Amino acid sequence: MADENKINGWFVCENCHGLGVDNGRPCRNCKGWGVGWFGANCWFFVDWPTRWQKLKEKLISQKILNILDVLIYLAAISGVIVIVWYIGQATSWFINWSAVGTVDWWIQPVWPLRWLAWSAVFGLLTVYRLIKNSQIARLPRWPDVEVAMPLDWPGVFELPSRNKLNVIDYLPQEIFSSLARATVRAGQNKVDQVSPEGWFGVLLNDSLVKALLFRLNLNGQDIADKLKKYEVKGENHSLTVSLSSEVKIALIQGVASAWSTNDLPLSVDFLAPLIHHSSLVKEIIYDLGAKEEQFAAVANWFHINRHLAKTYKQMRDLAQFKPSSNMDRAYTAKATPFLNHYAHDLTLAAKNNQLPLCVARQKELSQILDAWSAGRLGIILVGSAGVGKTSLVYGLAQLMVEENVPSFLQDKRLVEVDVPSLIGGVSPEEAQANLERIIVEVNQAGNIILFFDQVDKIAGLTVGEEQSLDLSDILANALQRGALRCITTASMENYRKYIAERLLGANLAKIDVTEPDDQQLMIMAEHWASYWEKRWGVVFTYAALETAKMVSERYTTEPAQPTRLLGVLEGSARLALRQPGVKLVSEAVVREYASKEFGVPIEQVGREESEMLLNLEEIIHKRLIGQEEAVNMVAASLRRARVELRDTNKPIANFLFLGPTGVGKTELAKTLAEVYFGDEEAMIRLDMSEYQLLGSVNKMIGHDEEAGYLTEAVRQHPFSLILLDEIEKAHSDILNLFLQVFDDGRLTDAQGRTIDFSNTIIIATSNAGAPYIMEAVQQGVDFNAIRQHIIDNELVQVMRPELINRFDGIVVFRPLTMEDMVAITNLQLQKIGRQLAEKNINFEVTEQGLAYLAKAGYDPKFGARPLRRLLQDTINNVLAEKLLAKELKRRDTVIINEDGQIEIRSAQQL
Amino acid sequence: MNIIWLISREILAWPFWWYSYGWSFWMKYWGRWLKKQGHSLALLVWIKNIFVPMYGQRDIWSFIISFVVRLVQIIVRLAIWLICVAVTVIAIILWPLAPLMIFYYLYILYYGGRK
Repeated sequence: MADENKINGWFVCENCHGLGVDNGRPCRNCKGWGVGWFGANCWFFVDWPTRWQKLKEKLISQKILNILDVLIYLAAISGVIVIVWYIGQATSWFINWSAVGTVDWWIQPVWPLRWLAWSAVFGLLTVYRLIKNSQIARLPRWPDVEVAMPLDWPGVFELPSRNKLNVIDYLPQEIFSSLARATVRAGQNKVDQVSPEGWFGVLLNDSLVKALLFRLNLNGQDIADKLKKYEVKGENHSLTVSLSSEVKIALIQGVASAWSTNDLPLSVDFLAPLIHHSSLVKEIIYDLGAKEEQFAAVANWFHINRHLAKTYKQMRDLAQFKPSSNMDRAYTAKATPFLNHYAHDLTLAAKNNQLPLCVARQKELSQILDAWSAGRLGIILVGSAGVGKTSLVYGLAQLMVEENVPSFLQDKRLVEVDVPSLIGGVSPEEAQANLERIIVEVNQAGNIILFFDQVDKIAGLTVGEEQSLDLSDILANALQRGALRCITTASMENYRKYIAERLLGANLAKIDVTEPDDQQLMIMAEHWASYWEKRWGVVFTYAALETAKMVSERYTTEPAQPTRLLGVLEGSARLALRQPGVKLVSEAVVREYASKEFGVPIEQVGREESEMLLNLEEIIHKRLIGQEEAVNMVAASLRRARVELRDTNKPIANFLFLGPTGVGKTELAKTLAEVYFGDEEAMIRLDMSEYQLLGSVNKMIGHDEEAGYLTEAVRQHPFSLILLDEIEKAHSDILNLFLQVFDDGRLTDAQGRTIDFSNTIIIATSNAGAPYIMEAVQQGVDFNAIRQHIIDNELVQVMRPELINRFDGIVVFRPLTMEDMVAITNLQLQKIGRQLAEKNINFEVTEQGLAYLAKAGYDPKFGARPLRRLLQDTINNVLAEKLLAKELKRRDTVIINEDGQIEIRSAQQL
Repeated sequence: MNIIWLISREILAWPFWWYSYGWSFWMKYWGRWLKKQGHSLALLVWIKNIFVPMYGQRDIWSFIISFVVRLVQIIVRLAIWLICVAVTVIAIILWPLAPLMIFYYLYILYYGGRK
C-alpha cells in the first residue's frame, strides 16, 4: 500500500508508527526499519539490534578489551626491558659485546630470550590492536546511478542495495557505544523503546558534548539532574528494546548533517535533532537560556574546526615541497635582486606559516583562478577597506604553496611589491625606471606573479614633458604585451577615480569583493576564535560570537566586515586575558569591550544601573521641577533602549518640546545628559538659528574634505543626546535631513560615510505657539486641545507635516506656576547652600525670602530665566564680596531674609 | 559466555586480519611514503628540464654546465629513488614474514637450540 507519511523524503511506517516492531516481531510493512529517509540518491535507514542484553554484553566486552589492550602493550614493552637487562648481564653492562655477537647466544633456550620472543608475539598483537583502534568510521561511497524516489515501502525494498545506507554501519565507535548504553538503560528500566531524552541523557557524558555545553555556558549536570526527575520506568519484561521513531529520525538527521560537511558524524551532531523531537529536553534547554539552533550551530563549528585543522595539516605537508629560495623546483628561473629589494615573497611567507588562513572565500578564489585561466593577465580586487582583499591574496599564496592551482601557477612565487617604497622619496622618473626594471626582471625570471596592494597609488604619478606618461600606464603596457601576470587591489572609490577610465583599468579584470554574508561571517568568526584560543589560551562561548556579530553590525559601520567583527572578537579576547583563572570570552566580556570601544552602553545592565533606570523620573525631578509628561516620556524611552526593546533602525527616541521660553525644555535635556550620560555638557547641542541659510547644510554634514559638525560629533560619540534648539528657525533643507535621520537612523556625510544615528536621543525644542499656550493655559483650556491646536495651526507654518509626524512625542511644556517657581528657586538656593557648606559656612533661607526671590525671578515672557540673573546679582555677587572682605568666615551663617537680602550671623569665637 | 566469545573472536581474528586488511594497510602506508619521496626528489621535473638551462643563463657554456649538472642530479636522484623502492619492497615483504619468523624463533628456543 502506498505510504502516505512521506514528507520531504521521510517515510514513517503507518503500521508500527516508526518503531519497526509489531507485536514483538519485526514489522512486515517496513521490514523492521520503521523510519527512513530518501535523499541524495540514497535510502537512509536504521537497522539497530533490539536485544538489549546482547548490546550490554558487547559494551562489557569492549571495556574488557580496552583493559586487555593495555596488558598487551605492557607485555610487548616488557620484552624490551627484559632483553636489555639480559644483554647488560651478558656484556658486563654493555662493555664486552663479544658474547652477544654470535647466533648461538641468541638461540639459547633461556627464559629471557623466550620472554623476548613472546613479547614479539605481543608486539604483533599490539600493532594489530593499535591499527584496529585507530580505524575510525568511514564516509559512505555515494552511488553514481540515479534512482527515482520510491513512492511506498515496497518501492523502497526494490531499490538497489548500493542505494541503501544503514547509518549504523557508519557510526563511529563512541556514538555506537552511547546509543548502546541508552538501549541497555531502557532495557534495565523495563521500557520497550529508547526515547530521545534517554539518548540525550547518555550523550551528556560524552567529552565532546561537554565541550559543546561549555561553549553554550550550560552545565551538563543540571540538565542530567532535571532529566533524571522525569525518567520513565516501565513494566516491559521483553528482551527487546527498539529505538523510537524520533531517535531514528534524529540519527539519520545527525549523520546526514555531518556528511553534508564531508566529515564523519560527531556526538554533538545528534543533540539538535534530539532536542527538536523532545519537548521535555527543549523546555529544559530553554529554561537554562539556550536555544536549539545554537546546538546545531556549535556542532557545525566543531566540524569547521576539524576541517580547518585537516586543511592546515595538508598545507603544512605540501609546503615541505615548495622551495625556500627564489628558485623554482626545476632551477630554470633567473634571480631577481632588484625586485627583492622592493618586494616580499608571499609564497615563502605562507610556506613558513606566517600568513593567516583565508577562510570562507572559495568563491572569490575561484573567480581569480578563472580570470587567469580565461587568459586575463591582470586582476584587480575591488572592495571597501576591511572587506578582505589582502586576505584573499594570502589565500591565493596558500593555494600556490599546496600547488592546488592550475598549471600556469604551479611552481611559481607570489611576490608583493611594496608600492610606497617604490614611489616614496623618489622623482617620478626614478619611480618609472624602478618599475620598468622590476617588470624586466619578472619577465626574465618567468616564475613570478606580482601583487600590488592599493595599485591606485601608482596612478596619477606622471612623467615626461606635458605629463605624457602615467606610472600605471607602464604596468598596463606590460600587461598588454604579456610581460607579466599580476594581481592588484583598490578601494571602490579609488578604482573609480584612478583606474577605471584609464589604460590600466582596461587591462585588469575586475573582481568585486563584497562583505561576507551571515553564514560566511560566522565561519570566519568561528575560525578566528579557534585561532585565538590556541594562541592565547582563551575560550570563546558561542553566545560571545553571536554578540560580537550583532555588535559589529549595529554599533559601527567602519571598516567593512569582516574586519569589524574580527576587531571586536580580538579586542574581547585581549580583555578576557586580564581575567584570573579560565580566560572565558563570554557575551558579557564582548559587551564590556564594545561599550568601551564604541561609547555605547551595551554591557549587561548591572544592579546599580537597573535601579537608576527604574527611578529615572525621580532622579530627574531632583533637578527639574514639573513637566511630568515630558520626563516620563524620556525616561521610558531610555529604559526601552537599554534593554534593547526597540527598533534598532531608528534613533532611540526623538521628541519635540514646545512651550514658552524659560520653562525647562533645555533644562530637561541638560538634566538627562548629566544623569544618564554623566555630564551636562555631554550632549551635541545645535542652535538651529545658526542654520537659517541654504548653505548651512554643509556646516552640518560637511563639505569636500571638511567634516560636518553634526555628523562628525555623532561619528565620534554614537551614543549621545542631540539637542536641536529652536528648530523652527532652521532652513527647510536642514529639516529635510532630519526626515531621513528619523526614518532610517542614518545620514551620509560629505565624505560618503554612513553616520549611524540609531543610538542617539534627539530632542528638538521650539517656541512656536508660545503666546497661544500662555493664553490658553490662563483660560484653562485642556492641555491635549492646546497641543492639537499648536500642531494643526502653529507648527505647520514652520515645519512640514511629514516631519512633525515623525516625532515619537510632541510635548507641550506648561508655563511655570508660582509653586513651580518657589521649587525652582529652592533648588537653586540649595545649590548655593552646598557650595557654602564646602567652605563650612551655614546657609538658611526664610520662607518669605524664598517667596520673595521666586516672585522677583519670574517673568511671564522669559519664564525662569531672570531667576538665575537675580540670584547671581543679589546672592552670589554679595557673598563673593563678603568672603573677600573677610566679613564672612567659617562657621558663620548666611541668612536670606524676607526681602531676599543677605544677613550674616557670625559664629561664636572659640 | 557470550562476552568470552566476543573477546576471543576479537583476538583470534588477528591472523586473518594480519594477512588481509593489515597487509593492505601496510602496503598503502609504504605506497604513500614512496609517493612522498618521489615528489620530494622531483625526478620527473629534472628529466623534463634536462635541456633547459639553469638560472636562465642562455650562453653556450652555461648550457653545457647546466646539462652536466642536471645529468648528475638525475643519476643521483634516480639512485635514491631506487633505494626507496627497495626499502618499500623489503618492508612490504617483511609484513607477512614477521609472524612466521617470530614463531620459528620461538620453535628454536623451545625445540631447536643446541643438539
